[in-house]
Amino acid sequence: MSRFLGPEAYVGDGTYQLLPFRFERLNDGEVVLTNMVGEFIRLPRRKLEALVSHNLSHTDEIYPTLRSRHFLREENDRAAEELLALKVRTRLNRLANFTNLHLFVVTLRCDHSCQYCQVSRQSEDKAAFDMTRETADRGLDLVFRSPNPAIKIEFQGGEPLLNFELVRYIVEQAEARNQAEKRHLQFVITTTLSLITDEILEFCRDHGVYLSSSLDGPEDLHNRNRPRRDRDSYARFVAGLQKARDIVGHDAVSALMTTSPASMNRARDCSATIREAGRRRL
Amino acid sequence: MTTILKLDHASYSVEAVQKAAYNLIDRVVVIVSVVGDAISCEIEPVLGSNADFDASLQDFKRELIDQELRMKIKSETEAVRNLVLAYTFSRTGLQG
Repeated sequence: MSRFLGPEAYVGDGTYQLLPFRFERLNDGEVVLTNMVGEFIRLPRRKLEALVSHNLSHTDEIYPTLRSRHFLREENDRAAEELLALKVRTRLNRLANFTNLHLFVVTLRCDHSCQYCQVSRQSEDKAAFDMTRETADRGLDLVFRSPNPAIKIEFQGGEPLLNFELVRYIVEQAEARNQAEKRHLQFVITTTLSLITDEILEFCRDHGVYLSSSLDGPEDLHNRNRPRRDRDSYARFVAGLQKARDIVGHDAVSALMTTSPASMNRARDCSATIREAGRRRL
Repeated sequence: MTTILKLDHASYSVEAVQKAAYNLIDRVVVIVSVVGDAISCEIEPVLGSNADFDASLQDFKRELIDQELRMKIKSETEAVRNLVLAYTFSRTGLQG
């Protein structure tokens, strides 16, 4: 006795249902179809129209591919929805942990006025643009609602050191909450280092706070990119970097380079400056 | 330079026309209005755009057909899509 039915039992009657998909025109004659799970297929535009109007023959060479990649299903394809769901679930699995990175913009004030900055900078003396403790508490509520076992809190601005008291408050509150939460907790301050002090650095050292900074190239370029009242952004960065390495640790401070139109012809200069200042982490 | 395109409301939905207009927003400005059984599209080139206006009009008409096809696919597959999503998120504990 045969274990399987004959091939004729697996041939559909030519009727099919569409499964969810999108399409984009590639050129006049061709489109690309994509579906919920990232499967895709290119086919002539006329075949798309035939597919959507249920006129695509099951003997068409593209038909088995459309069926196996879940662009259509026949009436007896009972597993199609379950298979699609399984694939979607696999693709989205990481979302169950939500996010581990949480940004606290503790102030919109800044001592720099960089043209390319995405923040609507406020002058230094307007405390109205600082985050309050009440907002920070509510922010921490949200942070710890994330089920992720690792939590990274990054302080941004403006220049976050202009509201360092709130940074200190958030770090201490997060550590207190983490006594019970037991997450892997990390902190990063994104700063130009221009306002760094020994007291701040000692706090960073004692609480494992990393510093993320910026070095845009040689002194003239850095100062042009990062205007400051005394035109001393570069000098402050260099002094701050050394101090941070001495007190917090060599690897506790990193820096990125922001590229502006003024940097375009200065690649070698930038590279040399970064090599001189940084070695590994710059 | 303004061109008026009148479409039969029985053949095109306002949503499809609006989506087509949005997709060409960098080249043409389209004001969509419904007048009786017709959808009226008042089309003019974006100021300062170097795009060929006739070519943009052709693209708009092709985009209309694409958008209608997309609406048809969406409408036919909506129930299956919801079923797949229900399967996907079942037993995940993520439902509110």
